[in-house]
Amino acid sequence: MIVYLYEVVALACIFAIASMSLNLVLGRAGLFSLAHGVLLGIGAYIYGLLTTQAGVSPAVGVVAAVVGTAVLGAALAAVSVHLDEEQFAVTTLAFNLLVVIVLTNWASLTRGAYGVAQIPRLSIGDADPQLMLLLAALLLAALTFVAFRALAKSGFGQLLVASASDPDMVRALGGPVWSLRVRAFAIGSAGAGLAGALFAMQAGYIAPPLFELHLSVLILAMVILGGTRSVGGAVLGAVVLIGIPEALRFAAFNAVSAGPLRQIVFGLLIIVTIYVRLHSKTSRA
Amino acid sequence: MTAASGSARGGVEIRRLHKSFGGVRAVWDVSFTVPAGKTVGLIGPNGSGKTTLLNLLAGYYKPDAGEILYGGTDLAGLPPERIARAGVVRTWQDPRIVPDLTVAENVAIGALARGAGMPNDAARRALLAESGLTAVADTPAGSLPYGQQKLVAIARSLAASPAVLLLDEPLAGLSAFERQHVVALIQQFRTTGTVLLVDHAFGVIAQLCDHVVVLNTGTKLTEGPPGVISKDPSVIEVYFG
Amino acid sequence: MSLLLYGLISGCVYGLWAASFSLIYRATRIFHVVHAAVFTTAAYGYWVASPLIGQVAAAAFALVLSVVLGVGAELLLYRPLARRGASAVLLFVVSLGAYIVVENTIQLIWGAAPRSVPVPFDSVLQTYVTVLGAGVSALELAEAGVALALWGGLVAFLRWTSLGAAIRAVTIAPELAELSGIKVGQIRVATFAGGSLLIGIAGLMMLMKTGIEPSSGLPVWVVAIVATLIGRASVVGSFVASIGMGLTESAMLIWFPAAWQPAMPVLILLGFLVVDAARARLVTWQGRRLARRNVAG
Ligand SMILES: Nc1ncnc2c1ncn2[C@@H]1O[C@H](COP(=O)(O)OP(=O)(O)OP(=O)(O)O)[C@@H](O)[C@H]1O
Ligand SMILES: [Mg+2]
Repeated sequence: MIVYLYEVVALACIFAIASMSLNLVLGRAGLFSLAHGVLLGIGAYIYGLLTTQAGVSPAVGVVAAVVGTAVLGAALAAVSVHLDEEQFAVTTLAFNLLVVIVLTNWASLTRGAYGVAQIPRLSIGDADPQLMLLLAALLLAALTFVAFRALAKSGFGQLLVASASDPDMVRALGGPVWSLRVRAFAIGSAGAGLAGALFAMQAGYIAPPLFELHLSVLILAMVILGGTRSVGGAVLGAVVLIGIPEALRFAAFNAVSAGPLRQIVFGLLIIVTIYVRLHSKTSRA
Repeated sequence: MTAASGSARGGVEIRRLHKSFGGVRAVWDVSFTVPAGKTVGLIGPNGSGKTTLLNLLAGYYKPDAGEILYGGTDLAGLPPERIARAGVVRTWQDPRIVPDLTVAENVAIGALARGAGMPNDAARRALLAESGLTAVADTPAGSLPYGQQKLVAIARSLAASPAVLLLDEPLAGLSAFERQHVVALIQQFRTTGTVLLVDHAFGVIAQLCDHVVVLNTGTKLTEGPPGVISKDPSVIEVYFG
Repeated sequence: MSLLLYGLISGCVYGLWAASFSLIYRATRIFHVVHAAVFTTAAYGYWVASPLIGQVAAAAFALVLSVVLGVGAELLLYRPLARRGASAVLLFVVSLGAYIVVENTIQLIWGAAPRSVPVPFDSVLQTYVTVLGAGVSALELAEAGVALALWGGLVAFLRWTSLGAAIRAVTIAPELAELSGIKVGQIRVATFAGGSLLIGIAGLMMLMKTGIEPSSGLPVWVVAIVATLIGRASVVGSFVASIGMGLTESAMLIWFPAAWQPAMPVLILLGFLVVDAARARLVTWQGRRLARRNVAG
């Protein structure tokens, strides 16, 4: 029971890291990304493959996952941040689908549909590995919170908000909107990569279906639920959306129906949250 | 950049500028100079091409033909951020503030955007005070009345510490009290900088400008000192005729 | 040669998907993901109903269901949210949420396993014929023919009926259309009804040819949206783009295993956007180079 609690808390921390990083991309930079789940997946694969296939140590694996995901994210952003909002969303959605296809089919690199198993965790001496992971996740989530809070309040964060609201105005004042956005997306991707590495440790086994579109939608739901403007809200969104399905699991839903049912809950939550937010906005005005 | 841009506080020379939209000749063969350190007024009836000219100067549009010489560089066709970083900064007829950011944050955008970093506290407070915005510094800019939003926008462009300021109807829609602040801001800026001021309020143009250029249907009708322009029958004709 | 034929056949089917989507997209500018759910819903509706009420009634039922779902999305989601000032991208996300709800409801009730139905008129449609030296099933040919005919019908409808003219007016200039007395809201509903009907038929076609599962809709939507974006959202342009995609996909089969096939539309989309982005940046670079030369000269 206590181990199970450890797992749930660690998972909530991992997704809090993911949603805080998407919060920068969406809430500050205004970039509606539907690739965040698959960026997390890329981080998980980099960590999983390096530690199991290339004999890299877990610590180095985490760093590689962060850096590698940031680089791939920057590449995606470089060709897409100039698009209008919806086109950007579709492009990131397409990227999500493409990466899953590659993970499934490029078996010589990714082990294909078999997935990557026996992924090692960070360990120090002979401490309980699940407890270690919990502590690492808590610590990293706290650090991420501090970092992203500082970033949101910084001049960079203000410029991102301004370029999301009126890019032409920012350019006319000398702001390099394209590079601001690419940087924001790369930083957000680094967060996703970190969450991915931790996710791979927690799960111990990863396979392509884990990172299909629904994961991006789940992280998006966390950010929207928490309110796109607040980093703390992103944490709250992650805690609620990890917590609800875990509670549902206790309410005796069998394993088969828990999957779709969970998705239905997320889908409805997205619709209702947007509806309620718009409603309160219009009734205030 | 080149050695020539060393004369950063330079004037702007517009040579034979052209811009059409489909069949509409919005700016047609316009030439004039905004000398360094001077304030030039740009007037003309609605639709005469004033905003289009500013859009060309600021790099929002690429001219069909013509040159915009500034410190020895041709600005024509450069991207807006390059032009702004070279010291030519504009405002719009609309305030275009960021509604969710506070007034102080909005003003800071001017300095941040050109890569100057967060302005220091003293400079920030001085600018807010001069603009009469101290009391609302921490209010979300979107909740201010229109006139104050425009003041925010002008303060923001000043925070970018421009050499040349392009102002598109800064006084339109303002109360008499707000106008005083804007006029004071412009007056203070022109002691060190160059201004191109578009407005319909000829009284203020006459008060602030060393020189006035009149546009009509995209072409330059005439130019001269304010005292001469105000008595020019052809100008009176296009405005009231 | 046979690859060319297969490419053309799947291109026609893609064309139907794209035409149905772009009909709605042109008039509303909504990235209507529920369209993917309409596709699967029609197929499941037919699959559930046909043993109970027979093939013809089941097909009618499935298509009514399609129209209800598509129009419902407009009336219950998009319209109220747009009235509250939802941006296009918010509508997109809401649509994605609704799609997820429908897909998983289907999976919750009937499971994830693929479903198929017996081919109607099997004595004719299950025979093989030789065209251009390649063997194809009559069913595939018939589906391509139906897709082509429906698309042709749609083009003719848009061009020569008054409702079609109104749809075109709303597409080009919604405000002007409103002023000239066209009921824009009703026209939008009409495009949702028409587009949903067409994608419903496409859903039945896939059910009969290869079978369907709850997640079949999204790849269809991706093909439709890619063709629509590349075809500049025109009903004709997106059809041409679809044929091109069908042929590209066939050509890809020469070099890649069939498992990579779903990557095709995505790769085309990303390639298209990258080229677009490169062009945009190239223009800027040229501008800078020119400017630098001017400075030097
Ligand atoms: N983007 C555009 N596309 C098409 N036509 C345009 C565009 N921008 C300006 N025009 C046209 O160019 C002409 C000049 O417009 P402009 O906005 O420069 O006038 P203005 O002098 O600023 O007028 P006002 O005093 O009303 O602000 C007008 O006929 C206008 O309709
Ligand atoms: Mg104007």
